[in-house]
Amino acid sequence: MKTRNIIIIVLAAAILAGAFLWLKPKTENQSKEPETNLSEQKEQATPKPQEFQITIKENKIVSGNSVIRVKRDQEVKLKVTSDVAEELHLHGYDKTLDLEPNVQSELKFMADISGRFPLELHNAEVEIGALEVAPE
Amino acid sequence: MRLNSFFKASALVFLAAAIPQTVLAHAFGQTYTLPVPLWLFLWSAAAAVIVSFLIFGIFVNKKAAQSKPLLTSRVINSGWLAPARIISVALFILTITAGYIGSQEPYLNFNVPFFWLIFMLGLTYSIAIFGDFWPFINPIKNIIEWIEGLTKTKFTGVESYPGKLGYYPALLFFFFIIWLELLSDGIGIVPRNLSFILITYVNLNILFAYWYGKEAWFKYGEFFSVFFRMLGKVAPVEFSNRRINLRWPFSGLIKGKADHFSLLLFILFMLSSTGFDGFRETAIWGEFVTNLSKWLNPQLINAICLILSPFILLAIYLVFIWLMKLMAGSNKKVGDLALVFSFSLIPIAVFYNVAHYFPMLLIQGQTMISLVSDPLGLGWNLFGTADYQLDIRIIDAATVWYSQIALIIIGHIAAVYVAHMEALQVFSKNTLLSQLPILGLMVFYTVISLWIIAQPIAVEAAKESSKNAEFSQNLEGLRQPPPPERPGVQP
Repeated sequence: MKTRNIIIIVLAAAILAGAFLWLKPKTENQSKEPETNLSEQKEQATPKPQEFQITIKENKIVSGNSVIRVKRDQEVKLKVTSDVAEELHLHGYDKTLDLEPNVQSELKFMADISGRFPLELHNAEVEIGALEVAPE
Repeated sequence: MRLNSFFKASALVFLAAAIPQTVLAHAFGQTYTLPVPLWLFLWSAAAAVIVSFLIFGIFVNKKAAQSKPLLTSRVINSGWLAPARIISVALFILTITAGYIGSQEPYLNFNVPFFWLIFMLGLTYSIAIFGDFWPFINPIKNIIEWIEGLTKTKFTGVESYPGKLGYYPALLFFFFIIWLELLSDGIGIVPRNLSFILITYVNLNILFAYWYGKEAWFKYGEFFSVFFRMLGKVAPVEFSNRRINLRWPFSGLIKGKADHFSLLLFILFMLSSTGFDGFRETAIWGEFVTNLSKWLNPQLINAICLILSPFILLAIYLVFIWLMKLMAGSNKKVGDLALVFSFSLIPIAVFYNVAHYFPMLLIQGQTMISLVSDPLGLGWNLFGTADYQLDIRIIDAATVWYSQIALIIIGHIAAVYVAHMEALQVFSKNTLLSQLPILGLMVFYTVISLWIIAQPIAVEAAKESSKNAEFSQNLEGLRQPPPPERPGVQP
C-alpha cells in the first residue's frame, strides 16, 4: 500500500518534470555556435542592438508595436518620433527620452531586467505601450 | 456641539483631500510582473489535474480523518501579550497621525504603504503562517478593553446580535476595502483620507461592539477579525483558550464549517477579489470595458463586476456541489453541503492571493525601508535609511512565474485534500464518486487563477493610465535622488 503510493508519486513527479523540460523553450545561445571567421567573431562580440521604430501621433502609437518584446540582456534601441514635443518615460528602467516635434530621437539601453515596463508620455500622462523583457 | 463640529471638520478634510487627488492611481503602483507564458500555463494546468488525481488515489481508502491529536500545546505566556498590544495600538496611532500631519504624497507618508502593504498583505501572510494572533493585537479590541477598564462598563451588548445578519457587516466592509484599493481612483492612497477612513472604521466598530456586545461583534461584524480567522485556519498554529497549539497545516480547515451563508460568500470574495484585480489588468478585460463604456461609465462597470464576482463563483460552486450530491446519492440539502465544503476553498484563495501580490510586497514593500527613517515625509533620517532606493532587480520574471505556479498548485493540493477529508466525514457511501465533482471544481478554480496570471496585460486606455502613471511615477520618484528639502544628506 505504502510502496504503491510512493511509486505513484514518483511516477507522477517524473511525468511532470519530463513535461516541464519538454515544454520549456530552449534557450538559444548564439554565441556558443562554432565560429570560423575572425571578423564574424568580432561582430558577435558586440551584438547589434535590436531596433524598434515608433511613431506617435495624438498620444498613440500609430506605427510600430505598442508592446516591445525582447529577451533579457539584449541591447535595445528605440527610435521614436512624435508629432508634438513630449517626454517618453520607460518605467522600471526609469529612462526618459526628450522628443521634439517630428524629429526622430533614440534611446539605447541594455534590457538587463526582466519584466513588463510601461512606456508613458509624461506630459500627456498617457501609457502608450510597454517593454516586455522575457527572462533568458 | 463640539463633536458635531469635529465631524464637519473631518468631512471637509476628507472632501478637500479627495477631490484634487483623484488624479492618483489605484492604491498600488506597478510591479513589473510579466504574464506567465502559455507553455507554463498549460503545464501547470495539467499539473493541477494530475496532482488532484494523485491525492484522490492516495487518500481514497483512508477512513474519515480523526481530528489528529495536536502536535504540541502550550499555555500562552501572558507576559508577551501586553507589549504586543501596546505596539499594535502605537502603530495604529502612528498610522492615523502620520496621515494627518505627514506629507500627503502616498509614497512619502508611512501610513499608505504601511496599511496597504505591510498590514493588508504582510500581516495577512504572517497570519496564514503563524496562526490567527489578530485577537491579541487587534487595536480596536484593545481600545475597547481600555475603555471598559476606564469607564467600568462592560461591552456585553445592549441588544443581542441578530442572527440573520450573519457575516454581512464584515462582507460589506470587505467590498468597501477592495473597492477602495482597486477602484476608488486613488482615494485610499491619500494619507489623510486613509486616516479618516481608519478612524471612522474604528469608531463604528466601537459603537457596534458596544451595541451588540464585543464577543458577537468581533465574531461576525468586524471585517479583519473574520478575515484573519479564516486565514488562520490554514496555519499550523492555533490559539485557543489561552493555549497555543501546533497542528498540521490546513488541518484547521477540516474541522468546522461555515455557520452562515454569508461566510461562504465572504470566502468566495476572498478568491474573487484577487481574481478581479488580476483580470482587470488583462487585454481581454480592457476590451470588454471599452466596448461597454459606450453605455456605462467604466468605473461603474468595474464596481458592478466586482460586486458580482463572488456570485459568479457561487453559481459555479453550487453547480458542482449539486453534482456531488447527486453522485453521492446524499439526501442532504445543497445549501447545507455548500456550507460544509466552504472552508476547502480557503487554501485556493490564500495561495492565489500570495501568488498575485507577493511581487508587490517584495518590491513596493521596500518603501518601508526609507519610510522608517522618514515616516512623515518631512526630510528626517532617523535610522539613516531615508535615501534607500527601490531595487526592482531582486526578483527576476522567471522566479516570479515559478513561485506563482508553485504557490497556486500548493493551494490547490491543500484544497483538494481538505475537500476530500470533508467528503469522507459527510457521505457514508459513494465517497469515491462524490469526489469527482469537487475535484472538478477545484481544478476549475485553479485553472482560472492560472489563466488570469497568464493573460497578456492591456496597454491601458488613455484615460485610466494617466491616473495609474501618476502614482507609479511618484513611486519611482523614490528611486531618484532625494528631493531638495533634504539638505545636508550625503549618499
